[in-house]
Amino acid sequence: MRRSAAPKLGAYAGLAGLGLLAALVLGRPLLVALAAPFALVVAVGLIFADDPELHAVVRIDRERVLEGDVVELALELSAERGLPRLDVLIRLPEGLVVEQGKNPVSIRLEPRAPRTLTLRLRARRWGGYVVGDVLLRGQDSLGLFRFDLALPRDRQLRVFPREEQLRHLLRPQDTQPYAGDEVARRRGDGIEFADIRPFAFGDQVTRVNWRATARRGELWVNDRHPERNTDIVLFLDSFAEARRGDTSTLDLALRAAATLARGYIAKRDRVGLIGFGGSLRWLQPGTGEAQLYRICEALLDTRILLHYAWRDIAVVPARVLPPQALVIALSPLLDERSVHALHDLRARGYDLAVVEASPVPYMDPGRTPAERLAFRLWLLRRNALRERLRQSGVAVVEWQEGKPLAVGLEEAGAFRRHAFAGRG
Amino acid sequence: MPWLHAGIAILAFLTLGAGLVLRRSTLFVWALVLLGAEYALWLELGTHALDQRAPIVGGGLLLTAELAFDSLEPEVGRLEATTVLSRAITLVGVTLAAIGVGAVVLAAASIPLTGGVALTAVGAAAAVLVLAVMARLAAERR
Repeated sequence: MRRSAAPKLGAYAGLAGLGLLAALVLGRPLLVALAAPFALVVAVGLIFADDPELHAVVRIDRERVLEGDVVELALELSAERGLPRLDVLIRLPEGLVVEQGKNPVSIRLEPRAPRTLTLRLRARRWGGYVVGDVLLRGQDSLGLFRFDLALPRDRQLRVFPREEQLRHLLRPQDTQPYAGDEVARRRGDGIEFADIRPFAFGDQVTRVNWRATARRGELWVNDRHPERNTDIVLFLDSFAEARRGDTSTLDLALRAAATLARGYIAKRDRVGLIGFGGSLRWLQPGTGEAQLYRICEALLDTRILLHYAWRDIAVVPARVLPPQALVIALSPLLDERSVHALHDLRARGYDLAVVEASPVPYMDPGRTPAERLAFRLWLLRRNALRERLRQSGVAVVEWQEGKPLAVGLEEAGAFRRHAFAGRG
Repeated sequence: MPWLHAGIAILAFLTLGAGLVLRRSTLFVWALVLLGAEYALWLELGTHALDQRAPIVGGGLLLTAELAFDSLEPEVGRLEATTVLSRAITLVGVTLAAIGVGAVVLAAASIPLTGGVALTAVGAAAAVLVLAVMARLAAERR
């Protein structure tokens, strides 16, 4: 705790000295009556100005919350000597707003009587926050000294992106060898009926289709589709974003990524992440709750970093992109490098779908005819870009704030069913 | 010279007002100096060798200073009732104590003693002693 003299101390001491001097010089003892009160306040203040031994601790009730949730921050204060006035300022990061409680606030702290100030904070935006930056300023009874205490920021709060409600997820074209919830295209041991075929040596008797056998006069067996897991790679484009106020296309992309990651991991699929942007980051595909937390933590660290260097898909390690994985790109399709990487992925044979976090609502169409024309041209270029991707067999869905992600995924699913059927 | 008194008083209030508006404590000090100087001038020009109202004037000056410095405190929302109450009690106590000290000074000044170099020297020494004690305390607390 740092103690410092208030401006009042110097002012009162100066006034007292001046009054006494004037009394001596002018030979007017009554002037001492004007100076004495100031001298008295200074003397009493100096005698009783002891360190109040202020202690403060910041606590938060949860360390992980979802976007839009409320978290309670408690500031516990205690002092050996009372403070008639203690100003408290809890400095909050931009993404947290006070829902209930006063900040800043001025309180009175009694000696050895702990007091707790509580703030209910709403996490307005996803991100990793460090809270606990508290400034305390107390003063003695006569206001001659100030006692300052600054608490370090040491409480971590992780705000995960809000998730969307989904009924169906995109089904990958191919499955992996491990057990899962996805019906594989190949035949084997499973539940889903696939076809019937003549009995072969080694087939189990339980697989015999007795009706077909009776009709054809020879043994026929049922073929089934096995249930397998899939590999999903979330390709998060962080080269560029369109922003207006507190919301941006990156927020949409992160929300979609968190939703898809949770959905696929719940299905026992392996989910990986590629953060493709100014800083390249990746997570190898994995499954389970631990992987979900790893992905969420990685999402929180995602930032748009301005970067001019050309970057393509070749920089991504091969193990992060397993064969037959479904790559779901979450991109505003604003940066040429990410668009090129998507075409590259498709050319390499990856099963690709693009959820476009639409930047259109964040753009101003302009006021002058020339600006409006430029805006229309830009929209047309975006349509052409989407068409090029669709022609190469990539499902592209446009997703905007306020529109359910489920609608976009249903559109993508329909496109993919049509595209696969056409491919035979 | 009422115009001189009025001029100094107006100047003092203007300075005080400027201090409140500009939030400068230095201007408060100058305003208090001007108010004290006006009282000293009134004592010099008049025949009020022992003005009985001197303790009240001293207390009033201190109250003015306290309220002016309070106005400089940062606004951190609405103050708690207990904070306001304790501050009000402190202000009343300090003002009464100031008046009491002024009364003691007035009583001491009214003791019929013949002046002289020795007495003046004792007074000067006492004043220096008071300031030295204050300076020493301030140095210890810093």
